[in-house]
Amino acid sequence: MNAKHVSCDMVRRQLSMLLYGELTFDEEEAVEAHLESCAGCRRALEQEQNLHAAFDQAEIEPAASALWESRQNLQARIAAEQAASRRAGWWDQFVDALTLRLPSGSPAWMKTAGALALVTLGFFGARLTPGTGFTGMSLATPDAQRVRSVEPAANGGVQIVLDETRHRVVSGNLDDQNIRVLLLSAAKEASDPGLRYETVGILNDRAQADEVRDTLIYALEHDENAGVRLKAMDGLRPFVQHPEVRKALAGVLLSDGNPGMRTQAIDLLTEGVDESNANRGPDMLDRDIIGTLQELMSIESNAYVRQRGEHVLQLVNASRETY
Amino acid sequence: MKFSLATLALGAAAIAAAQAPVVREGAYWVGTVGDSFEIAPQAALQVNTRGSVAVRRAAGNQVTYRVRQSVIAANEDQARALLGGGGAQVSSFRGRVVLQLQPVSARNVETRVEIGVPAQISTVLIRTERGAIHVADFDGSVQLTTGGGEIRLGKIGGSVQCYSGAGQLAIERAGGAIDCTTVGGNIDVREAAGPVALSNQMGGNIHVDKAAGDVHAHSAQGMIEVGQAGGAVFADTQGGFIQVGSAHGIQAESMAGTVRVRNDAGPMNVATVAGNILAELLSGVRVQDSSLVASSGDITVMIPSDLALSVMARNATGGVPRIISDFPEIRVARTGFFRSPLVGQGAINGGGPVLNLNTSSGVIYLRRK
Repeated sequence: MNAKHVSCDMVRRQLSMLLYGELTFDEEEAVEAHLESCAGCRRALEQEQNLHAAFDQAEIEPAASALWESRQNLQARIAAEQAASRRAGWWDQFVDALTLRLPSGSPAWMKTAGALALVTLGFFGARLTPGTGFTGMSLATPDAQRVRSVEPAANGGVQIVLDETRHRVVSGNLDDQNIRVLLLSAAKEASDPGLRYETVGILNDRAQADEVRDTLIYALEHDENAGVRLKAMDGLRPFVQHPEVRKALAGVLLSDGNPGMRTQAIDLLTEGVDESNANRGPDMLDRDIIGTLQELMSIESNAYVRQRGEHVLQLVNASRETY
Repeated sequence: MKFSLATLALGAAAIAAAQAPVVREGAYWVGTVGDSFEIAPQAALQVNTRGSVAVRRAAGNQVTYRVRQSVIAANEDQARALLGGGGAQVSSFRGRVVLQLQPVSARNVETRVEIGVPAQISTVLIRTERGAIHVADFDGSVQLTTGGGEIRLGKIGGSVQCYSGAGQLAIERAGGAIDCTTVGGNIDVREAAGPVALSNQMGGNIHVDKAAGDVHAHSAQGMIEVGQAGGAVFADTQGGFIQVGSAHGIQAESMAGTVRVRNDAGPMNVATVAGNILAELLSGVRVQDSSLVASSGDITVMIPSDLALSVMARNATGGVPRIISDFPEIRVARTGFFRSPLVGQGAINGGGPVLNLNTSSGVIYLRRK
């Protein structure tokens, strides 16, 4: 905003906000730039400051009865309007008693009786209702529901917001994209490890698809449950030559806390590396895998896994350490 | 070179390992030593060694062994120095014939041991520092220990005890009891004629197809599946589902995961902290007092129409607790006023053993089968 584009009228409308500190940085800068060049607006600012000072000095102490009087006035107005609109019969009075909306002149015992009647009705109603007593409340027989919020509605009713969990059966072939999307999601996000395990087991048969393989790799690298990780490793076994699978297995070898996982990872990574083809030297194994094995030698605590690593390094004629 | 038990009785007899020939095989220098010795029927054989071990059945009354070591070396002399010649010793200890095959070789030497055992041997004990153990079909019992490596067994006529520091365990059949532990890796048992005890200390899945006796299964982290157990199943996992096809009594605990059980008879005590419980009772069998507890999850019980049972169900879910029953005999009511638990109780077919159901967050379903 530029001072050239700010009119006196606009500045004077913003003076109050300026004094309260409610303007943005740009607005404040524009107003102040205008005030520097406009004597009329500076005077207006002084008047505004004087007004604010006067308000600050004037301390209004509301009377202690102000709130009570306001409520009385409100009730009187409501009663007058109700009297004008209808003449209350015995049923209306009964309902008013139940809902504690008796006119101000009604005796106090009627309110007490109304409250008691309401409690009694609810108690015996619940006792006499067959079954759990909740089926009648159910809007759509949800499998689970929880009240999120309640607020009065305009017509005197109430509006309730429910969180509902519904079970829905979806069936289809594994090649169905919708089914596959659900499975891929369950394999990664389900909180139940058993469900993740079963999902991974189903996906293992479709690991030739990139998206499925990616999900299995994700499970192998990130699932907190060793059983699920082992299952994912089973599914990736036929694809051990894929670079991304080898990378994931190398990660398992270096960082998985379960020695059973590391044992299987080293078995898969070094599949086909044996004495019969040892004379091929380092060419028989990726250099990255050799590097991983060399790194493993410096951190591995399990004697068997270390021995396997050493043996493979020897087979490919690589040193145990990196230099 | 042959040894009789009479020789063994005189004390430990050292086998002076013959200067094994070292031959070139590809990039490797390979030394192989082997021999055999006589063993009495029903004797127990213990083998202490290093490296992977394969046990197979041998004819006659001779134990045969073959130690194959391979190493990459610049020349034969260096290879001989690395291989160390290999040593074997047969002795008798606590009634067992002990075969020591501890090669005095360098650490980077790959060692593979093959043992041939006569069918009439009662027990084979293998102790290897590390390496896989494979035992093909064998009529007697086996006790196997490895510092790390897979253990794979064929049809074993007797009992099986095994331990691996890391690696999976696979047993096709055991004629007796199975007691096996791995630090990490899957455990798979096809068939056991006796009781089964399996433990997975750091995680892995446990699968038992069929066991004639009780099954104890513990997994630090993984799934437990028992197809059929002639006895009771005791299963616990820190994370994963537990599934029991049929059993004579079930005790199952999962920290996180669904528990699905089918009980033929006996008590059923199932608990899961986070997960559902699905329990099926079979018709015409005798059940006993049982308890199903899900801290956070649904409980579904499938009850045969003709089963006599007393049910006490309690749902303490906040908000709208629900107990859904196919049995009009089960009366459901609140125990108090606002947010009080829902209780369903009643006697099905006149009542019988008590089935306690309890969830703190979920739905209880009592389904007629």
